[in-house]
This record gives sequence, structure tokens and C-alpha cells, in this order.
Amino acid sequence: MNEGLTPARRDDIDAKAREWMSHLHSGDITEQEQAGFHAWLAESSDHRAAFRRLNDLWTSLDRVPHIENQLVEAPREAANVTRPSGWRAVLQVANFRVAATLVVAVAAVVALATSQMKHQADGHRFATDLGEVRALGLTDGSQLVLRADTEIVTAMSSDERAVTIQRGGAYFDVSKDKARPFVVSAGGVDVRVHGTAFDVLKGPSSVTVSVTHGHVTVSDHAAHSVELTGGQQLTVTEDGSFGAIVEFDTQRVLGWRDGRFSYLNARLEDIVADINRYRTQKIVIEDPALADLRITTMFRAENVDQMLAGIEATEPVTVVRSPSVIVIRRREQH
Amino acid sequence: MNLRRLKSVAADARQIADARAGNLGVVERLYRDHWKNLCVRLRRVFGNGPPEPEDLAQTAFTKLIEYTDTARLNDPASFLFRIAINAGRDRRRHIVRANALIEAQFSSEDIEPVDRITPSNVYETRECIAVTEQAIATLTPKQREVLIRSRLRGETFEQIQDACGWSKADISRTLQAALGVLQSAMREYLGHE
Repeated sequence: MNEGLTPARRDDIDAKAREWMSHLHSGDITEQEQAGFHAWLAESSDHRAAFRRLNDLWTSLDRVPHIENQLVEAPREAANVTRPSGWRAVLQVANFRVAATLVVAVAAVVALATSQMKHQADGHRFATDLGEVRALGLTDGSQLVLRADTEIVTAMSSDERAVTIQRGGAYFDVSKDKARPFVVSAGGVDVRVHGTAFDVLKGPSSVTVSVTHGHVTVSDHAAHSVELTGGQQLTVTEDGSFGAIVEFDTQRVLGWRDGRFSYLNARLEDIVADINRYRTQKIVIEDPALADLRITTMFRAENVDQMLAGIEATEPVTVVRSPSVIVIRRREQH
Repeated sequence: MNLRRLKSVAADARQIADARAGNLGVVERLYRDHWKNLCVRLRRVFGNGPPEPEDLAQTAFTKLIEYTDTARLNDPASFLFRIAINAGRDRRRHIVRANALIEAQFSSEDIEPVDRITPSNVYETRECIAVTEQAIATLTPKQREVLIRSRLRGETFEQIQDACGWSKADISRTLQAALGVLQSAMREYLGHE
């Protein structure tokens, strides 16, 4: 580059080079615009040099390790992630302004690599917005799928791989590393594994662990621990009580990754908490006694209204809608 | 299926040059070591296709056989991925047109062919790739999505618009902003630009 260029002039040229690069790859460039590109290059050797450098940088991108993991929308074998087509409709119906966040990128491989290089348990925070499901590739090869409205903190060190769920939940497909256990902490419960796949959901008053394959150890801070293997599910309530180990249907529990929600004898409060991860118009349970109402239902994310109508028809509740909130209240007896 | 593909690749190799028969042993080793992972990576970019990941992987291995000096290949996984990605992009007409436009304006000294077996420019050195990797991590999810869709998948703005709902003008601005972040990081690292 011409050493005589001022920084401002150099920035202008670089910006123009970016504009041309973008335009060339847009799929919409006309013959007249092609001529404009030629003319711009011919104007100055600085223009040519700037574009050549940008082209080199553009070309080099496929050398970036695991760059393909930055795409979340692509079908992924590891975690079988798919983006539910219905979610956008849900967001539009709810008049969301966050529809764009549905299409998100896998993040943070580099950030986590940095923490590993330091061999320190530096924390990195990852969060998803309402309606946003994000696949996350960790540098140890583990694959995560974050539920909507979820926040986690990761800390990789030379002797442990730690993830703390602050809110929400995630599906984990953990790479094997016998030297470094993978520990997921949520609401006073630790899930410890060396390599397996499982789902952890931190609900309003409980943590549910569902193991798809391999085995995990679930423990609380009072050293109470339980072993789970593939196909088993355990719920630990906020008072520290460990529920019974039950078999679960993978399609039902993990259907959220495809925008499907399915509940078998589930608490109304837990169902509402799941739905609210996808809505700005929140659903509120007015009477605390209704929170424990047991519901069996199945619906797609875009069909919440129908699901609510179903509950209203079969349970002793009334659903009251306003522009900002949907209230579930006990039906008055006449 | 994989064995059949290997035989197909091998048949291509024999057609290319019998004299390179010694090279085939290296390719067979590379096939065993890299075929599966290459297909997994390509599936993450292109899904099940089109273009079909296995077809692109086969194209990459066929290209590999054309080289007489595969022993010099210090990063075969990266090389194969690049060849396959570009084979996928080359199936999109607008990419072929864009590449032709760029190549027509620069001499071969200015623009290196992308299928060189060794790094083509300073941006492909290990150090610069690390800088780019770190810069990508600082991009917003939207910037990353647009950048990768355009660069790896070779999607037009219209295709990105259909998939993501953003306007073409927004996509253009986002792509330029993402490239600006990468440029700034590289300028800071290299210092002299």
C-alpha cells in the first residue's frame, strides 16, 4: 500500500473494497456494475492492492479450524439439530422484534480455546434470547444445544470442563476425555460425566436430567448421588429431594430441538416456563395452587393458543388474554 | 459405498497418470485418515446437498491425486476441506461469475489459485489464521451467519434473505461490517498495512 495514504483515506479505500466484495458475491451484480468494479480498480494501484488483500483474507477463511461449526442452521449430525420452521411464525404472531435471533451462529470456539491455553478456569458466558436456540461447539469437541432464554457459564481448565446453567437448559453431547470430567451444575445439582449425551433443564422449582446414552452421575452438594444410564430421567426439586428414576421417551423430552413440546403428566408451571422461553407475551399462572396441576399435552411451538384452549376445555381454569400477558386463573364456580 | 468411492477415486488416479502410482499409497492413507471427518464437515455446511458432501469429498481426493508431491502436504485436512468447499461453491453460477471477474482483473502473480498445496498468502499462515479465528469469535451471531453463508456455502443474498428474513441491504451491510472487523484485526496484527 502507498505509504503516503492517510489512515482516513486508507479506511475509505478498504471500505470501498468491502463494498465491492459484498456486491460481487451478492448474486445481483449487473454488467454496468461490473464495469464500475473494473473502473474502480483501474483508478489506483491502492484500490487494486486493497481489494487483493481483502480477497486474500476472504479466501483464507476456509482455513479457519472448524469454521463450519459457526453455522447453526446447517443440519448437524452430532446433536441432530434442526431449526423448527414454525418458530418464526410463533414470533411473528407474538409481534416479536427478535425474529432475527432465530438464526444464530455457533459461537465461541476461539474464546474457549483461549481459556484452555491459559489452563485456568476462566468463565465464559453464553446466553440465548427468547425464541433463540443455539448450537455451541466447545473446543474439547463437545456439542451443546442451548434452549431458548438460557444462560450458561463455561469454564475449561486442565483438570475439568465445567458448565453452569444459570437459567434454562441445554442438550449436551460430551466428547470423551477420561482425564477431564465434564460437570454441569444447575440449581444445586451437579451432573458429572466423561463422555455421553444428556439434557439438563433448570425449571422454576426443579432440575431435570435426561440421559440419552452413556451414563452420568447426578449429585447435590450434600454428597447425595445417583447414577443414570441411557434412557433414564431424574428430577431433583428445589428442596433437594431426588425423585424416582424413570424411563423417558427421547422424542418427547428432546422434541424442543425441533419445536415440538410433549408432556406426560407434567406440572403446569413447568410447561408454562418452557413456553415462556419463546414469547414476549408471557403466560402467568395467577393462582399458585394451579402450578401443580398435572397436564398431558403435545403441541408445536406455533400452536400455543390451541394448547391453552385445550387446557381451558379440560381443566378447571380460565385463560384471560390481554395484549401484554396471558393469565391462567382458576375458573369460578357458579 | 465408501469403498466404491475409493475405487472410483483410484480409477481416476490411474487415468491421471500411471507414473504417479506411488502417490496413490499416500492418498489411500489420507483417505483412511480424513474421508469420514471431511464428509462430516461438509455435511455441516451443505447438509445432505445438493451438493452432496460425498461428491465434494470425492472431488477433493481426486484433486489430491493430481499432485505429485502430496508428501509435502502439511495440513491435508485443511487442504481437502478447501478443495471440497470450492467445488461446492463452484456449482453456484454467481460464484463462478464473481471469481471470473476477479481473476480477469488480476494477474496470476496477484491472485493465487485456491487449490495450491501450500498456504497461498500471508493470511493463511498459522499465526494469521489464529488472528482471524479470534476476530470471528468477536462477530455478532448475525455477522457470523451472513459471513459463513456467503463465504462457505456461496449463498446469494436472496437465498440468505429467504432463510433468515433479513433484507438484502441489511445482509450487504452486515457482510461488510464483518469483513471490516476481520480487516481491522489483521491490520492490528500485521501492523504495516
